[in-house]
Amino acid sequence: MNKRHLISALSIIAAAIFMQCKSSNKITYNLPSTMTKEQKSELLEKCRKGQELFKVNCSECHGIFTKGKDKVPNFTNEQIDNYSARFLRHDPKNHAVTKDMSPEQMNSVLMFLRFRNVKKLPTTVDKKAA
Amino acid sequence: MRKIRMLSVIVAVVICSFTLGKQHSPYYDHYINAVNGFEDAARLLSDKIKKTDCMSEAGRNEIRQEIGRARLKLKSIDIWLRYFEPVAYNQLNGPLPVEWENEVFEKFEKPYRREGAGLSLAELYLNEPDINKDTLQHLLLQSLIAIKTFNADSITLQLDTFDHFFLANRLYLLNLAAIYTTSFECPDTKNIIPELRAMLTDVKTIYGLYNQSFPATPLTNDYLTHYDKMIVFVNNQPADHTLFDHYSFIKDYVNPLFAINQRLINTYNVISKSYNDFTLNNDPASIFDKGLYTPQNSKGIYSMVKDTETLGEIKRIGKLLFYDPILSGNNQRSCISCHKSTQYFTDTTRQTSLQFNKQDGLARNTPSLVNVIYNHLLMLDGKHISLQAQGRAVMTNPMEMGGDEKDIVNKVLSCKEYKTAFKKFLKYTPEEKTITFDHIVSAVTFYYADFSNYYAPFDDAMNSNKPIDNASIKGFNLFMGKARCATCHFVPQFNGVKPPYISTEFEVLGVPADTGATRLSEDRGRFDVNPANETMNAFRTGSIRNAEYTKPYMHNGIFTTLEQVIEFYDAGGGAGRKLKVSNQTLSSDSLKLSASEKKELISFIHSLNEKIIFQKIPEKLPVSSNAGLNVRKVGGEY
Repeated sequence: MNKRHLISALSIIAAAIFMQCKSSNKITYNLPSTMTKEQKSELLEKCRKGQELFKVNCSECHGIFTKGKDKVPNFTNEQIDNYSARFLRHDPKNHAVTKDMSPEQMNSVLMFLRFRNVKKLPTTVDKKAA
Repeated sequence: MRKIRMLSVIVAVVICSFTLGKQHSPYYDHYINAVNGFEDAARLLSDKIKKTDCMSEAGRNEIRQEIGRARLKLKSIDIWLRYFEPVAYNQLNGPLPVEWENEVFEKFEKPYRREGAGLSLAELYLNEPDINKDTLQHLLLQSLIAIKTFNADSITLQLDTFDHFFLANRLYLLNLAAIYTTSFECPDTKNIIPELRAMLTDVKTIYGLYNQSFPATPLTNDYLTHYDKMIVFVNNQPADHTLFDHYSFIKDYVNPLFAINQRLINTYNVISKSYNDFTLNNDPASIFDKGLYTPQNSKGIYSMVKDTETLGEIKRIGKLLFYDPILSGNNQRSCISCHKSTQYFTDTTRQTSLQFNKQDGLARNTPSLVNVIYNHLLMLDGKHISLQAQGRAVMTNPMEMGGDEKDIVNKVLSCKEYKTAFKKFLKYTPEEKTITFDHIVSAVTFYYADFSNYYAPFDDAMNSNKPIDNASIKGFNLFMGKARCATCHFVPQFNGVKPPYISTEFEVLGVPADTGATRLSEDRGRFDVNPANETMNAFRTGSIRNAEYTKPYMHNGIFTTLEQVIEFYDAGGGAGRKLKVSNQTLSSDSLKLSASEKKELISFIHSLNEKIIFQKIPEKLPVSSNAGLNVRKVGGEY
């Protein structure tokens, strides 16, 4: 009886830890503190859409969602800004898929990338390559 | 070995850059000299103002002559300046003291204020009764500061490659068609044609130097010989711009040159680095091709759908929804309640459409949906940036369709036909888990945008040389010249979008509240969206295409005939009829049009009637699981 209790208690703890790990793996966002509640929820909704669009259209090559590669790539703000500018001026070198997106959809993807919480800052210099 | 080879290449490059680094092409040198030449002319003008008595007419005339000389210098390099840096150009030759810009790529931002300065404004200022020398000098000082921009590396570096040339030349050709021959920024209309002649010759010099400097990607001989013919044509035309043959100028010269330039853009694989090319497309071989610039995105949330079968299916559903009163709060109004498909998608029977309450009229006249996609901002006050935002707002507006977002989605999905279709489309919008209001609105906008793809006899004349009656040609020449219509209704859509077709313009006309013009319409227009002195009573310039069939006219539908509209403009708008309109953008002087000239203008407007194929009204609407909804009628009840 006691043993059974212990097992079930342990399994509950294990499940809780597992859930904890899982939820910490979930993408969180770092939103500006000056934003109002409504602005935040609007932006979060945009980020959520962006995440989905990224998953379908971009992650095959930029594999945030590919197994084992879920922490890369961490685009820098500069890269995101540059991409945004290139999209805006219809750079012929843009990815074909972004040429089909509506401005709203592209905006969602960029918001997702910009406000996603990035744990590890990207290193600009790779020592081995140097 | 490899390292040595690399090293030698580097050394060679370094040596080359030392020996050739300071050497520029004749094309480059001409640019620098000509920009400096304008700066010298502007400085001379500034000195002249310092020394001259502005109070005497003789003194003012001396200054006017000096302005004329500076204008010619400016026109000789206009092809470059307008393309490289239009914001700075506004300080050299701005058409208005203050403009509120809202360009396509800035759509998500608030409109921003741009102050104009330079030659045109200085010339206009000279005509004012009390002249303050400092104000006049200030307009020129701004130009002297702004011209420095054109010596910046970011601009001059572009002169070493050929890409910018064909894009700047495209803008030049578009301006030849839409702006240069009108009085858009030339206060003294006597100078329009003489300045045009000088500019055409000066640009020919630039062409020659370009070909000398970039022999691998030249302007071809067919272009140059046709350009020479254009110069001969313009030189043989009368110097009076009201007698100028705008029609032949555009049809026989500018437009064919545009086609060659487009061909060269594609052949040389020209790549743009300028936001001036943002909406322009490289494929159309005519200025009057509807694909000239990218219109509003009618697909909305379905932007990524490409296969034609699905697109056709979305369109079919969009059509049903367009006629379906299920989109309204009381299930009695549909899109076609106000945008009647039998009346060019407007309501020609009412001054303004009925409100939701079935009694009162709305504040503004219903605009036709045909060609609405060629505006970068929608609604008469430019409140909305996309067709979808506009559609959402109308359906949920308590005075219009009076619906509720969630309620509409639920009602639509209660119909099996809609539900099956939208479920099928859902895989194209991975960002949405369920069917949303946006899916419904995007299907509707995708449906009606199709009616903007038709052409009028005037387009056929321009595009494929089909004959057109003489009265229409005369009317077009009046439109571009004496009647000054083209200073706001720009070629080729004849709406408020001018080259490079990235922004939408608003004008203050002083439209009265009654036909007798006893008082000004109280509608504040653009002011409600962007409050400023300049935007009070301002409205977005509409297209004159299909105008014969889209009565009544003006924002409040006050005029029922085109004759009344032309009378209104001929009399100088509201201010010309003694209404108090302090910020009117239309001249209050009479245009002095004769009765036959007015008729010719109307003939031209009729030549812009598009040969649209309207569709049959659907016979029945999808059946809902909610029996109460199945009594609704196709198109609604009012």
